[in-house]
Amino acid sequence: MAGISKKQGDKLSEAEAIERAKQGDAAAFEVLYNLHKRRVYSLCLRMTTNTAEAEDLTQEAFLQLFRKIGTFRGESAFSTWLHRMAVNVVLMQLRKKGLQLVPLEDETEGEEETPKKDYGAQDAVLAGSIDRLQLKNAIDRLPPGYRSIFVLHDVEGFEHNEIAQMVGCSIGNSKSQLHKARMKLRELLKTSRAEKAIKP
Amino acid sequence: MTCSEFQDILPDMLDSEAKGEHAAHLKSCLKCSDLVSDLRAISEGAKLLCEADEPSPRIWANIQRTLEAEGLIRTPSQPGGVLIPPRRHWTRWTWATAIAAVLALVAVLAYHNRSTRNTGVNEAHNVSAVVPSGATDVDDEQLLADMSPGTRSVYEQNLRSVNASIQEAQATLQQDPDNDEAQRFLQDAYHQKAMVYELAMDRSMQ
Repeated sequence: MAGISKKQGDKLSEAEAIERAKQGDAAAFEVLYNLHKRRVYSLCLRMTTNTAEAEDLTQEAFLQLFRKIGTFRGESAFSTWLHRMAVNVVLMQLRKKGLQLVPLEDETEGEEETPKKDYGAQDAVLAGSIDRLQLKNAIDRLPPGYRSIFVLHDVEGFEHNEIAQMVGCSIGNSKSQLHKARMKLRELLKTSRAEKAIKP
Repeated sequence: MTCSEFQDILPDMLDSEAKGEHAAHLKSCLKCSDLVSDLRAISEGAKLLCEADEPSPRIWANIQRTLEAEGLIRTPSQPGGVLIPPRRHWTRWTWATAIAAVLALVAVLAYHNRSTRNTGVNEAHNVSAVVPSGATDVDDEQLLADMSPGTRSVYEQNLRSVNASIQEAQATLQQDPDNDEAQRFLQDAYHQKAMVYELAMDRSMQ
């Protein structure tokens, strides 16, 4: 690899790595992979809740990226380009599995799944004490439709108009599902905390 | 404003600052205030999950192998590259086979050109018996697409041969990634393939 033998430990900027990867530099591909692997894998894992599936999708997302890297012209940030691609790979997989990515606006889910409004007696609040592991577990227990929107918006930082375009729903529906997802998570976290408190 | 009315507008209000009667309700209602705090805490907590997990190292190994197989990673021109090599007892023999395949290609093409000009008979299929076969990839098929049937047959057999050598080397490298000799072999096999491509390009420009 003449002139391309820098390993990931060396200081190779993302821009340099992109240019070198376009020339087929294996080390540059590896640098790009290491820069973004955690975010792509975390996205896949949150969306699928399955380690093996998340690994397959991570692999597929990076392969798609590397196959198309020659077309990257830098109009958008590389990370934006990559994560959009990763989201599309995941959503395509979820569609293949027949999962409804977002419930229809006026469709109600089962009694168990739909979070209720909260204007009863006051109970313990969560604020300031949300454990990361508990939150991960609670997200895994969300219905797939809620989970997709929540992960895309609150974890990945996509805007509602982007989400609406990606999953094929209205912006209003995206907002509404996000709210229901957060309400459901609150319920799950409270339940989880209550169960923990009961255990000796 | 009632709690129910407040919670109806909450999806639109949560990600921005409460104003007017909404702000007033929040100040006066501990229940709704707690709800908003919780939902905002959940949203904030979620941001920390963005890069929370690390994929298994085998993911990169799989990606790298696939990129190599697809020819997207450039052939290393010096030792120490990412591509890796086969076992000592068959390496030299396979290497020799790859070189012989390219030499055979040159000879057969010369013969094929002469015989096509003189008799119009395609003799190219004769080489297929001595050349080991492997699969051709998408790029190979593209290269072969515009060739006449006789020429195509010769090139196809040689590409299959070189591809078989590449695959064999890659398989060995999977088991023994530190095998320097196998790494050199793989580099040479890619070099042979490049030579075949070069011959084909030169020929197409004639």
